[in-house]
Amino acid sequence: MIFLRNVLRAPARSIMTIFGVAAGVALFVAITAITVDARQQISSAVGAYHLEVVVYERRANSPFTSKISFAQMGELEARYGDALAPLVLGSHNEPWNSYALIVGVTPAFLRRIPLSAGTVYAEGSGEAVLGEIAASKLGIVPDGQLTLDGRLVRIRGIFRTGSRLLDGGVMTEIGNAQRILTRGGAEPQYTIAVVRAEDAEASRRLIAEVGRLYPNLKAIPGSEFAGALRLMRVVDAFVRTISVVALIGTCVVVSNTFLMAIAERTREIGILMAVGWTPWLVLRMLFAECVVICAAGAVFGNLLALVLLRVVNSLPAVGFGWIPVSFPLRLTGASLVMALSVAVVALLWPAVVLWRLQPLTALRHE
Amino acid sequence: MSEALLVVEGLVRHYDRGSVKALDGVSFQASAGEVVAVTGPSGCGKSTLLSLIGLLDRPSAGRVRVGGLDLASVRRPSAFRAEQIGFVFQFHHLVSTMTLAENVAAPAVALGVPRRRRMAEAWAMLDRMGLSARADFLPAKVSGGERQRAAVARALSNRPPIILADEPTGNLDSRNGELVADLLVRHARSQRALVLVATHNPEIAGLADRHIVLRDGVLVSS
Repeated sequence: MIFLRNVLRAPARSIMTIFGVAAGVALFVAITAITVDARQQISSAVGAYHLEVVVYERRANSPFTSKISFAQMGELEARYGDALAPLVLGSHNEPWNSYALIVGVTPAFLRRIPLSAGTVYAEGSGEAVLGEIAASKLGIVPDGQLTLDGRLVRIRGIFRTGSRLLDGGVMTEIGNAQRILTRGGAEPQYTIAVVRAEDAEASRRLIAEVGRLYPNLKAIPGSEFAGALRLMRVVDAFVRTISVVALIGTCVVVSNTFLMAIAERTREIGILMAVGWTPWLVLRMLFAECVVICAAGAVFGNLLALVLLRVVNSLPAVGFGWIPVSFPLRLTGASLVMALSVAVVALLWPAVVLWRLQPLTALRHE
Repeated sequence: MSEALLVVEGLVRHYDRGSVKALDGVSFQASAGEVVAVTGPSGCGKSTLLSLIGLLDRPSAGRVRVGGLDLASVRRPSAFRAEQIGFVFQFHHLVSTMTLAENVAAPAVALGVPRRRRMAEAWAMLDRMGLSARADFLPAKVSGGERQRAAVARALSNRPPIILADEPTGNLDSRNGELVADLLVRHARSQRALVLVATHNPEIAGLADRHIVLRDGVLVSS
């Protein structure tokens, strides 16, 4: 196990390099996990409510910034009747959470929501139902009370959609939600509308119709909602940029370590060349060491990412359920591939140094 | 006299654009099975001569032929060294993170010998050197004499026709020096290998069949 002995011959340096790789991997994994999860949460919310078609403001960057006026929602309701359900979505600064998710729904829509405890609120009662994650964090049970916009509101039931984003929020009547989320003086509005369609063909007709009749609105299949949002595309670009920067930084750290290793072991490399080793054989030996370091860094990086996510998730400023506390195995696999890529790229410059090294010069190196 | 294995013709090596003449027109021949001592004061060009014969360096002028092959035509010096040359250095030059057995097997790696076979041969070679009990030890854990014997084992492991030993006993006490010198001479006889030894040690030089004396890069007697 020559490569292991070589890794251990400078333990402090190897540990620092492993930590450098771990930091890069942790950054990549944590940020990608948050982004992937955000898409999944939106998609699972869409799935939980069987949102065949989602209608939103065309220029909206995120679900929370879409605005549909009263008048326009009235036109949509007149055209699509019971198949259409308006929704109000937003986050509000509450004492119990700085980014509390508030969802305003119609009674018909509320009946779609599965409850894990209690009952739904009566129409016009001003009451609400609370998501399971929020209820658990706040220790609230059915018939308990919660502060919403400075008023104590009775929580009639606890709901569970399976979407971490929604299950960290509170659901109430549309009028209540509009009152809470509308800033002083502004006209109350809706956020999105969801429309049931009988089949795929009906969905396509509906989507085309909305696009034709309402130029400021856009209708898309619910399954595509997450990807269509400009914010998600911006976040994707940001994550890719961060990933590239993390990759470059990690490559630099590892490359520097192996340049130092070659400098320290120049005479030994000269000995090996003197007995017939080619630069390729020496590089192969270094590659094995590099793989060990990068693989160890990937493992620690994934553990570090888990810790990071849990720490961020526990921060008071973060909304309930907005940050995942785990990530899928395929992301771990991607991080291992990233680490192996680092091992290859990081050895490019050391390889150039090796190929230029003359055996006699190396043998005489002090 | 047997046909010459090594032919050196007018070998020249300059440095610093000719201002330093390490070798200046050295010519000689040597045959398989011979032990040739290369002697002379420090800086006379002994190590340079061995480096050029071992293709660790290229001459400024002149030719070296090994078994009829002109070394100037060799395109893969690493392969040539692995097959034809065994090096013994003054300071053993063992790789510190390889065990004695792994060091001895290192030349076989260059020849693509499978791991099991090359380790078995390395163990056998170390056994002949009386080092089988130390085969799994790192160089730092064995004595100087044992390291140098392991270095000799490494040089002999591929059974090369030419052994180049640069002050192989320079760092050893007399007893270990005699052991190493004896190993080299016995190898020359038994394997019909040509052994060139650069040395200051008159006792080692006394074991040689022939002497080549260098002074200021010039061959003064052979």
